[in-house]
Amino acid sequence: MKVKDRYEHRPYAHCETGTVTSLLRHHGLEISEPMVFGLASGLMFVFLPFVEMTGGMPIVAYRSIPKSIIGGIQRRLGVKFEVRKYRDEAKAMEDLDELVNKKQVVGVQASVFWLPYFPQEMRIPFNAHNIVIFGKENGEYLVSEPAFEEPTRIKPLDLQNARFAKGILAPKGFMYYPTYIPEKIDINPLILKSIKRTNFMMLSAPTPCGVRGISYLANYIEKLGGKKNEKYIRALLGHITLMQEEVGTGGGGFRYMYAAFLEEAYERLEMPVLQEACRKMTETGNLWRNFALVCAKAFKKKDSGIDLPHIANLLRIAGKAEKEVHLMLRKIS
Amino acid sequence: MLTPVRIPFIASFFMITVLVKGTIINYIIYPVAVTGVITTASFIFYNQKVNFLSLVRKKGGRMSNKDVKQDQLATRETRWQQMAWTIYKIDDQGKYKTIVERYDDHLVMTVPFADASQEKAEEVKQRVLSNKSSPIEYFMYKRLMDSKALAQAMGIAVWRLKRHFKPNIFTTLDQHMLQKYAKIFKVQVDDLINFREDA
Repeated sequence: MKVKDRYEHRPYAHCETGTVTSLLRHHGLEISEPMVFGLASGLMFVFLPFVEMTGGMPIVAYRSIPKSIIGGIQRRLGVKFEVRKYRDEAKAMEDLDELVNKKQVVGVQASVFWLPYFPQEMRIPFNAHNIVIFGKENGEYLVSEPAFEEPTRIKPLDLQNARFAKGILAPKGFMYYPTYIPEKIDINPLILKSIKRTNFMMLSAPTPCGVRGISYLANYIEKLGGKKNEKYIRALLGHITLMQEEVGTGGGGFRYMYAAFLEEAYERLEMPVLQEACRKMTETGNLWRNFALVCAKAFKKKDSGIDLPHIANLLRIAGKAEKEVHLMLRKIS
Repeated sequence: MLTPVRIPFIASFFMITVLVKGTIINYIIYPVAVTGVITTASFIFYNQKVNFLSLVRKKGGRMSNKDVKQDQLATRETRWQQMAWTIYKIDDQGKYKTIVERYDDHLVMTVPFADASQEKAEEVKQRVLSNKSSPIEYFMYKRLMDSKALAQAMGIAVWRLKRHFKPNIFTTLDQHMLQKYAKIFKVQVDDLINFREDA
């Protein structure tokens, strides 16, 4: 494990893959963000209408559950992370101080609500955000925030509050850093394994997840008209757009990022199927984006009517295109 | 509300007034008495130096409401400018590349959501002023939360939180509970009790 002297900050599309990538890069493993995302089989679709998030909105997720990327990358690449959780707040901060004094770069789970450097409008109570702490200067921690262009700073008390926020997916002082990276990693065979796993997750998962989940959401949207009032429908469509395009997905609900992974896989393995899959995945991303734009319009223009069957149809087309890509990839693996 | 630090401070003001007035009434301008008064007064001043200076600084350095709002707007702008919306896009050579977009050319949905919450807060504000709701409900919407999220952050049940929205129940809350609320809302306990809206 060759640890670099200076930590190099970069903006990343997604917080969890971003922190894992920057930690691995700092410890001498040159790897890109889409590669981490693909190898950890991060692509997924989940729609749970009965579990409410903030603001009474259902969960719509475009990737697998939080922390699955940290676990998945360890299983796939054979790297090892030291993972810690705390009950005692003071002990957690002491341990972080100790690690920072040893010049260890640490990934930390934090709540967006308590991070003062975000704009006020962004600070919703969402607990599963990830940041990297890479030093301490004048009593303030140096933070490498994946959503920022430049590194920022945070006061110890703010960080402590953010690390011990309560609620769903509570961080409980969760922190992690790599301790072991194998000398030689042959990524090529691992790519096929992880594509196989993503295929399995998307195609074979039961109804609220995977490809079936997409058509479930489409049916749900179509039937909304008689059940809920107009204000709720507009808010739900806005919420879907927010989850798909805003909260660090790299655009098109991670589909562009997965296409970037497929492109890199083609460069390594030179299988023509992968290039074709990359092209089709990009088209799928475009379809998702198209759907999001219509949803955003319905949310922002309050006086115009909403054409729910049309929106549902757009979503069905996106789901169908995605199913085709995964069926095509199933043949190679 | 008086904080415990302030009580001896105000008492010392009272002591100085009594001292000076008493001396003038009794001795008019008798040199020994005057020097005695000045030394005692300076001793008291020396003891309360921190309090006096903080008072002077607060009066001189207090910002008007307008200044505060403009300051907030300026920091808000710079914070938005720092955000990087990283996006994967195909470049001219047909390869994937990360592109950092500015927030003004990105379709921002967060702001309308935050605005909707602020609107709700304004509605609640009227009800708080007419004593139909408690400041807790106002600050909940102002900090972009809903009752479920706040109840989880507080570690109490939702029905208990909703009970605290009633003004007559709110007045009976103890200091410990108020401090927990104040910590989450990032305000002082005093702002909750006396309801200052821009705290």
